[in-house]
Amino acid sequence: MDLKIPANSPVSGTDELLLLFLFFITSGYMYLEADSFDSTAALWPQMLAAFVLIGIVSLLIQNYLPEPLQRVVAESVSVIEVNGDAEMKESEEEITKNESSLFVVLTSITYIAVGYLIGLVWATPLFVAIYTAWFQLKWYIIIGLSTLTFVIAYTFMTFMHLPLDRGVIFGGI
Amino acid sequence: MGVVGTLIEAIHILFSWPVFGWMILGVLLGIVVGALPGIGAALGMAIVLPFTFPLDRISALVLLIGIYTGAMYGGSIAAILINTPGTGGAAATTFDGYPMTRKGLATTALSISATASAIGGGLSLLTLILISPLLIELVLLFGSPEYFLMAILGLSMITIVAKTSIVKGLVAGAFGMLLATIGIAPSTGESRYTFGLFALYDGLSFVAVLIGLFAISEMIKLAAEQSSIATNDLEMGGGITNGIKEVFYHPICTIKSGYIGMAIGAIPGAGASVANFIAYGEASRSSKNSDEFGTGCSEGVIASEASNSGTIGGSLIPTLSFGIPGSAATAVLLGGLIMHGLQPGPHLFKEELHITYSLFLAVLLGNIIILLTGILAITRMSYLTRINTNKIIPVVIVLAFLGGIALRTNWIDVITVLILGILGYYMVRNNYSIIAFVLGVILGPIAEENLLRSLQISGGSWNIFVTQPISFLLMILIVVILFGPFVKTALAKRS
Repeated sequence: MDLKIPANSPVSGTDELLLLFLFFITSGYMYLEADSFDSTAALWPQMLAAFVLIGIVSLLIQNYLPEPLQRVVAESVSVIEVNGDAEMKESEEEITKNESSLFVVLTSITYIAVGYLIGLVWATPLFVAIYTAWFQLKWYIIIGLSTLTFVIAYTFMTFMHLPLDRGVIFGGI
Repeated sequence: MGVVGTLIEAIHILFSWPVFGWMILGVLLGIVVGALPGIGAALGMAIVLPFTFPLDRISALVLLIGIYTGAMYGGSIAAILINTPGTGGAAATTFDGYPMTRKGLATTALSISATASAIGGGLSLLTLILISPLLIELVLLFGSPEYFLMAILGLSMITIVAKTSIVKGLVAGAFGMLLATIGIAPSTGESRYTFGLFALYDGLSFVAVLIGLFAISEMIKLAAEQSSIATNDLEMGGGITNGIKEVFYHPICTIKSGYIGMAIGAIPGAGASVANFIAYGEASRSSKNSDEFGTGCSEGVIASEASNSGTIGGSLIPTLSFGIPGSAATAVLLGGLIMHGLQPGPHLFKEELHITYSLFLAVLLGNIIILLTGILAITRMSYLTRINTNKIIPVVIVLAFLGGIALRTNWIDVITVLILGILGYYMVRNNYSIIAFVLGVILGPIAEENLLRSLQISGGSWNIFVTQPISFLLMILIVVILFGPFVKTALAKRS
């Protein structure tokens, strides 16, 4: 199958192909795994998984579909005509890929990983310090926010009895 | 106890301590989160949601409703002062609000906004209270087949309100529903997709899903955007009483916009970000001064603000009656209801009617607090626009993950917040509706339970979805909504 993206496809870019691949793999797995369930328990997940799989395939091959089907797959329809971008908040404007968003993703993953290893209460000020330093905030803001978030995490640990000072390495969870 | 008696009981509850305190705190928090561009009602509510666990359910829900109400007004502050709407519902406010600031009338514009928001929101809620007995009768007509079809209808409507490929919207919604099947099957008690992990037996926490999609993905997006935060002191010219008078000089515009907001708010997925444009457009069309729109016309601000607050009442209708959120914020509110042991549907309008009326009255009272706060604190509002988002983002991310671990002291929830947050960001980036996805996660279990129950009732026959009058009507609606626009386009091309 040629995965080159057709010019007028609603699927565009590596990002989206990866997203669809993730949906495809997950749905495919859930469809096949449901065969091991009781028929009643399998009905709904298999219906949904099949629907998602069909949807993904139709998005990928929309250029090869007959015109009426192509229109259904590719076109956006909005019954509420508005001026400007009146969508829900998630598509108010075009989101551009840049270093900052990637940085937030990577530091968030690292924050959770480090928090799991040593405890969130210790990982929190490190995360905030690295984040604010990267965005070149003033030194007293970096120290202030790191301290504030440490206090917040410590407060939650104390009052909500959460084991935030323990991780796999220290304290054992 | 009749409706009036229940209303009186609700008033007693709302004015008792600490419920009243939580409501005021909620509204004030809401104004702040609404004023900060990129934050907004849904995110503010999602962050607070896990921390409402220790509260009694009325206090928790009143706090969440307060944030929702306050944010609808708060979004106008940045819209008027720095031409950047704090929430989607204030986008149309920039068209005339910011020009008023440039003319030296910022205080007048903010005063108009506070007054119009209070009146629009108040009208919508009063109407909701008046029609609630009819709503109860309607809700009682619905059985399992109808509830299943309402879930599908709700998802279908999202895909056509959102400006995205209909297939992308349906794929997002169905994928959300699919993820919601993780855990114990409702019918057989069998565990599905748990990999033997006890932590997954209860499935993915929808609160963790909400936090990930509304908090983490928004913060990733915000970090990437150029933020238009004001760096200099803003001149706060104009007068508070002039602003209040302007609203009362345009009663038709105010009332009409409030009801437009209520009607649009009742459509799942539409919400304030759609309502404010439609109300603005209608006000411009029907005004005698339509040429002045876009240059600092007070009617433009009135229309946008009255409508976005009017959506609150409208969005509560499908949320409380059928469990179908009318907006992102009501999706979080629905999460709060379920988390505190309340199921949407007839129960909320019968045994728990006093809670429902407490929520309605909280919105009504919240609008009065908005009016007072807006008017008293107007000259200090410009401070909110000078906050650097890079100071807010790491704090919100920390609160989101702490909220995740607070849910069930379970790292699966933290990982859910992280993964769904990253997934949500890339979904938005590629024009997949996350509100459809959220709706799928919330409606999935409701849809499955009612589907299986319907099939049990009918002895396995699918005819049950077309033989009952209401379910047949719902089926027709779903087909019309999904395929109608394409048929209309095809017919137009032929003619």
